[in-house]
Amino acid sequence: MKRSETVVQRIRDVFPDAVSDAVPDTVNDASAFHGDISVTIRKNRLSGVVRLLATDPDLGFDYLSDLTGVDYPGKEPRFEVVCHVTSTKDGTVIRLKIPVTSSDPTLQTITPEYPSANWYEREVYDMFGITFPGHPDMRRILMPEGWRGHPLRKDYPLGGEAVAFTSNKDFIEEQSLPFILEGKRNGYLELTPDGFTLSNLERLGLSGAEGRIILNMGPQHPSTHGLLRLLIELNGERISRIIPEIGYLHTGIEKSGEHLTYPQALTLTDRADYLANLFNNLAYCLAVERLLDLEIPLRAQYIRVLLCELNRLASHLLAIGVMAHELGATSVLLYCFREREIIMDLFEMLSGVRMMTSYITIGGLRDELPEAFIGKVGDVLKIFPDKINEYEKLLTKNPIWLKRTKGIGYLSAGEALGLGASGPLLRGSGVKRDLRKQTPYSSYDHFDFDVPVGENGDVFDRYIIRVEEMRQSLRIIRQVIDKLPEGPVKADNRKVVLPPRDELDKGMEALIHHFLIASRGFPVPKGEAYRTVESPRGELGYYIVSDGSERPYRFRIRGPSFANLMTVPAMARDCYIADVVAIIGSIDPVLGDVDR
Amino acid sequence: MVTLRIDDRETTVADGTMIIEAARGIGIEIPHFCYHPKLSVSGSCKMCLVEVEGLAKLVTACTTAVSRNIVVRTRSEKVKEAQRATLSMLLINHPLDCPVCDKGGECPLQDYTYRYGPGKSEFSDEKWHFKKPVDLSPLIVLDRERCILCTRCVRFQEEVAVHPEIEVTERGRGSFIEVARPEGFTSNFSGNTIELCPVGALTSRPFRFKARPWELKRSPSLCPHCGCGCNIWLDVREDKIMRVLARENPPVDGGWLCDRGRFGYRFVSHASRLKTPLIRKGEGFIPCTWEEAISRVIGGFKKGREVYGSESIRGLASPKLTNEELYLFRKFFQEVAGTNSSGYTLNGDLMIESLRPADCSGLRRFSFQDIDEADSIFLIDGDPSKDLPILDLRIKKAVKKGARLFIAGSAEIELSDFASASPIPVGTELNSVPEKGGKGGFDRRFSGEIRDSKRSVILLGRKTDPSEVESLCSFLKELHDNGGGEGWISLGVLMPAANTQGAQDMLSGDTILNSQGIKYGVPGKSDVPDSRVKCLFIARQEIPDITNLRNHLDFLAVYDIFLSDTARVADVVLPAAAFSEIDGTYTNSERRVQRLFKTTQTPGEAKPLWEVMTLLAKATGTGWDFHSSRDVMREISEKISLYRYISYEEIGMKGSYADGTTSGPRYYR
Repeated sequence: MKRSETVVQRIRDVFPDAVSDAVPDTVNDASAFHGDISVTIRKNRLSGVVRLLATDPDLGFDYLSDLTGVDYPGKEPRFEVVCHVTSTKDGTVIRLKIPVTSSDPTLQTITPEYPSANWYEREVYDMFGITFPGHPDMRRILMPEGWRGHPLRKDYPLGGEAVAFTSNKDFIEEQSLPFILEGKRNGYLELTPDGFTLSNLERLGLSGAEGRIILNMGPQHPSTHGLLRLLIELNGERISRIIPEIGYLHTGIEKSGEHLTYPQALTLTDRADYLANLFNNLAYCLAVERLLDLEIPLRAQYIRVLLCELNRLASHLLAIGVMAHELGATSVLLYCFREREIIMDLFEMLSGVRMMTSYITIGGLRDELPEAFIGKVGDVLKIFPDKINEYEKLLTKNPIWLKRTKGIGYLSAGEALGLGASGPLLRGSGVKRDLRKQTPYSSYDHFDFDVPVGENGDVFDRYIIRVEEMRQSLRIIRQVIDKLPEGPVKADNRKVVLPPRDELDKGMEALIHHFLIASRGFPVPKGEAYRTVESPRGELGYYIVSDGSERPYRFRIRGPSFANLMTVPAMARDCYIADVVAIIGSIDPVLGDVDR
Repeated sequence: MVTLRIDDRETTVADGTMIIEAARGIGIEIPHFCYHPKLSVSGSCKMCLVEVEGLAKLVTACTTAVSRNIVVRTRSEKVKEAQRATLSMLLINHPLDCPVCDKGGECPLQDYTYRYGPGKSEFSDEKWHFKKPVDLSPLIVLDRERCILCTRCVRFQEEVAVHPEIEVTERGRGSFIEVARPEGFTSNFSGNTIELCPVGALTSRPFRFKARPWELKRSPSLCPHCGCGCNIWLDVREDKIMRVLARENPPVDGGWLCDRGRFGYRFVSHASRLKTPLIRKGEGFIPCTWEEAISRVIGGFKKGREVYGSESIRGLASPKLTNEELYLFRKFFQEVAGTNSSGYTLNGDLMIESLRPADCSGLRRFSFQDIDEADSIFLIDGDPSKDLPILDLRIKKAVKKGARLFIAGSAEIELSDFASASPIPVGTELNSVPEKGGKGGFDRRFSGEIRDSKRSVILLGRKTDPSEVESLCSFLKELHDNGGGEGWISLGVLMPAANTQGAQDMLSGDTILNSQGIKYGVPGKSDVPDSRVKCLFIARQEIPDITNLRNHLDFLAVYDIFLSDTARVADVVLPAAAFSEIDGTYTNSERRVQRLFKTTQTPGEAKPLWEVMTLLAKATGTGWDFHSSRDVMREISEKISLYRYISYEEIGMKGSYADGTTSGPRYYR
């Protein structure tokens, strides 16, 4: 019996009436992805099932990967809350789907079992209007307080402004006003000014009484890695409470994605975690390719690995450089940027842009690598090992650095898992979980590499893990170059993959397929898929629901930074205010990834 | 009835149904190019091949009738292979035009190739070439390389329009579509061939290269050009109408459009549309605000009333305006200006007012579908081909089915070719051969023919002499009452303008003004110019001898979309909204009320007439409370008993008869 089937059987045994529908998901069949399975759970049985999954040692689903919603207006139950719970021991993912009616849009919170459900449930409330009785802090998370409506509901209109070109400039100026008026009429643009007044702060449990100070750090602050806001209650210089506030960089990527065709939505994924754009491309493509049942040529898989590891190098360089800079070691930042530039140049050579490459596409790669590319990657392999040693020389034994990082921001393994941490943050706390090893994708199992793990769960461990991961990335890159097979870089499916350019001026069939894929997109079979990759920040997952049309019905991004930020209060407890900067730096959050 | 299985689904259909139709009935799509439900079967494209169990070869679903208990497969490997092969063959000579082809994005050839065709071409030789593009007419461009010779266009012209002006010439591989007549492709239904063409071979000259289908926003509307009220789609990009397509409403238009309706849209976005109110300054005009213009108009009216009395104030509205506009127009002149003399223009079609329902009670009120059921059709002094073109198609279809057509008229018309008997001689007015009490030639010639029919339709055209109408009605009533069953004779008037019927309904009871100067009187009895008129408000109407009229007037205000010759001599010119810029309703010739939707913005400060009338009323201190045309319709349904069941909800997308249910027959009372 497969692991997934055992799980469902166990749930059935304990709660005979809980499972209303367990479909061995044909899309997620066991061989392709470690047997994740969809189980529809009755609403009133959720807590019990989740407790069983989380606490039963045989099951061991100790990690909540994702919790989100899907809206099906016109259907009843209208909403579906979808949880992906994972066993970090073997990587099994189980998808729990809980139907929620529009007449009673509530669901018992699962924060007691999975503390990381805290922010996810707030997000579902914010985006879908489903409330979670028992939740410790049920309020909006991405949209501002006082916002009307729930944006990811399907009947909520896609907002945004028309872009002015010379051809429609005058038109837009005339048009923009009615749009705004309409928005106001429907209440979508009406905001009640409800900032953090003193009473609000008290509601959040922050108190300025008895010699305590409430400090507002961010969202405009050089060491919050973007638009992150921290509400800090200080007792002297020590932190007594800290509350991260997010949403300042919310751009509605998920909403937009549901209005674009599959190839168009790819370009949005670059813009979520903009420092790990290729990982976003990859996770999205893996999910869509699963729905399409596309076979990706080996060469394309290898090049995907190569590009992702280059991207990891660039991202970690920035993480280390910026963290060092924030703790006062400015020269490290300059050195890191110098080397990162080499990789940026490589991406530019590949695609013409440095960051938003969208180079990994559904069905393979946008194009074959430029001829000189592999040679240039060889330069990286030559240059980088020494450079990494150089950074270590500057930091690893530097007493000031040690003073600022050793023993700071402690996070236990249990807390890390419970709060949904992943990536270097989780491994720093001693949990050896790397999705490249645990649930290999894109042929990662063809390459040898080690997964560095920390012992102390502090800022220093996270730093040293990133340094070591860069070495491992170089190791993988070298193997990719050595083993890179010949062959196509695009799947052999003309209904999805754009035909080669030279066929367009010869064959009518190629021309028509190109025209329609580019203008209308391609229909993706009904179904759902959740695919994860190990991004520089951790578990990056895309949950795509297709209704059979050319546009994703649900375009969900599980960004690792979102969950990772939930660990801040645990890490910063009783720290000095100055250590907050080190802690944030060691998480390496990308706010585009948090807020999407 | 025959029961058969298609793709493992059972269906029961009438004998003689083709497989393609049986499949469509249960929602199974069989790809096709040459087949069209409203045209004869051709069976030439071979796209609809299906497998019938027991038959060695695949059969074309459009030419094979169902038979008992056959098992049809539309998605078997054999069928898929045939579909791939058919598409490959069609694409061999298809030019690489998608990037520059108007059809791209809404092209059945593209869609089928994506869904059923191969991804790669196996053909590498030179493609077949023709000179291209070829202008078939000033409106239609033919690209022979793109043509797949499905002959839908040829069949449409031959069977539906009955203008067989295009044909397939040459043979085999070298055959192509050609204009068959020396006078060219002049059919006034030619535009339908563009919509029928399953590839980009026939394209519209005005729309050519203007927009991609996915950039267009499609909104429902009505054709504003005649009394048919054909339903249309407006495809709009950046607030500009890019093209007009048929929106099928079978009882009204049967899914076709005439060329006037299809191509007559560019005036809406013309650069010379009036954008601001204008007031006279010396020989010319200067732009002004609405406040200034409104106070000018009110001033003009006030002065006229003081000097000459309220009978000197007149309003003259065009039947191009919507019911809502016309209603408030009349309300203003009646309630605010205190004159009973607002009216609408008929361009001399005075007979329309002279048909009194009481004279013909018991007769069926004409609805378009009556033509389909009639076995005799009588056309009196009217030319549907010119005035209500879409009725022309209906009449031709009825004649084809066996109905007899009789024509009485003063001019040779297109439908004369379809008449069953020689028409009353050309040049003979209906009443010019008077016989017993002046019933004219009509009853002398045709009373026997009417008596012989089971269902008869009598249509009065615009040239009918108004003085004849009364006697004609009583003649028909006599025939009807002595014949079989209620409503076996259906009587209708061919209303020439989009809302002539609506104008009659909204303004009935008022004095009729016509456009030949400002003459008035009981229709048909008085042609005396009314010298009392001193202040005139003309809405959306051109007056032919306006300079002459202007000399008698003290004050003239004109509301129009262009600075017409009439507007040029006005004291105040108000910018008007065109049909796509207003919410409202039109009532067509069969008294079906249908909706117009605001789709594009009015240019500059132009306003719909109902808004202008509300402004004028407000300026005189009368408190009108109309904020939308919906408000006006609410009052119409309260005040005009004929429209008491009409509301925007009731009208919906298909329209609703003002004087009865949408389905059942209606009678004159």
